[in-house]
Amino acid sequence: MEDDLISKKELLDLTGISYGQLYRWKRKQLIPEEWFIRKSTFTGQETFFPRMLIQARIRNILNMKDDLSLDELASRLADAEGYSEIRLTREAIIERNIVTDIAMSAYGTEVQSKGDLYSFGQLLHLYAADTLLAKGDMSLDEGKLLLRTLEKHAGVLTGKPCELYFIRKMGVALFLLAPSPAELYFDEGVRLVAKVALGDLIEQLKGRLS
Amino acid sequence: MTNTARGNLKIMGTSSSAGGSFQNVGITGECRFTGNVDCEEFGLTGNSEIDGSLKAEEIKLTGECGVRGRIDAMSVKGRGELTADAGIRAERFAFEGHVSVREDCEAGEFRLTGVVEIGGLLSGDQLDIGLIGKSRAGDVGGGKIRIKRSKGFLLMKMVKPSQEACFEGRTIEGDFVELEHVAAETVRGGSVIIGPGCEIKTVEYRESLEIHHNAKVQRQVKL
Repeated sequence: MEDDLISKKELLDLTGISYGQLYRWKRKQLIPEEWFIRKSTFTGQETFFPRMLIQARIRNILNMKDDLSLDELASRLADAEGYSEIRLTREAIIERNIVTDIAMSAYGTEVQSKGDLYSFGQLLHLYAADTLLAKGDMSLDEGKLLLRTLEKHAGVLTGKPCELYFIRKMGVALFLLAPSPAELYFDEGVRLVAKVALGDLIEQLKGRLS
Repeated sequence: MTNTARGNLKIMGTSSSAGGSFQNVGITGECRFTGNVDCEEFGLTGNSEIDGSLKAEEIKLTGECGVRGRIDAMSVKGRGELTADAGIRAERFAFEGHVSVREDCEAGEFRLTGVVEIGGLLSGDQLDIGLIGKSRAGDVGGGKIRIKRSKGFLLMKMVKPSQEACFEGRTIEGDFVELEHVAAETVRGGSVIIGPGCEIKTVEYRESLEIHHNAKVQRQVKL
């Protein structure tokens, strides 16, 4: 759990933003309240953030803040609804480099709904598969299994923080979706290949879409 | 915002209202609202209690105003006593008197002369507090933070010698921090000036640090 958090100090050093900016963005609700995690350390109280989420969010804000006012930005970032409206064609997805060509041609037809359009949810599933493929952890066939898992169960977990576990035992691939924080313990023969927080993926995907 | 026939509300004397959506609300006297108030301009001279939340473009107060919910506004101005149980969010906040908030108080520009009591976070791009009495906040954060004794305090001290003016907070973080008569556990900032009467456990700074000889700082760390 410790690795997944970043202290405020470290965040400011890494991103080069100032306290003023951070508090302003908080006030404008560009950074959700729940991400401010208070903890006591040996030097006193400190604020921590979920590492992946906050870094992706700050990158998004920095990229967009020149073109949009903070209020517009807030509605765009907070508004998951805005994204759920998104429908993209296969060509647009590949052209904008949201999901690679390979993943698209392998799984594109699997998740496709009516017409030639992909929704945000479907994009997210493709993006998840694409990420794991790119890491070289997963074979193309296993990706299909992943997509089926996501399609079947992700709906129930919408809006809740959840993590995707990819494990392997004796060469057999298994996917698990669990609401986080969850602690899972496996027997010895199991190798945890990858663990991905869906929240991080969503945040990264939003960055690519905007 | 829908502009479908928002009426004005004008109250003189003592009255109560269920609240609702208005164009302008003007109160001279006393009024109790039993629900949320949403308006363009909220003007009060006298005394008001709002059992819900107050949302307005502009709030002007003279007197006492108690809000059980939260206050959301572009600008809050006035003098007197203001309490909000569930927090304040405003772009410009300028007040003389007593402000107490149980949760967070977030503003773009926060100027206050008097006493402030905030349970959660006090944040603003610019925070300027002139102390007259005993103030406190959970945390303070922002761009430019200045907490000092107000000039008015000297006058006050003549009338009432037992009067104190100080500020107490857990952590204070800002890019420019200037403090006087502040007690805090941690102060973090870019350039930090610790003035007379301060008692700080740890100061962490990036660019510069000045400490007045009448201030107590236990530990200083350059980042």
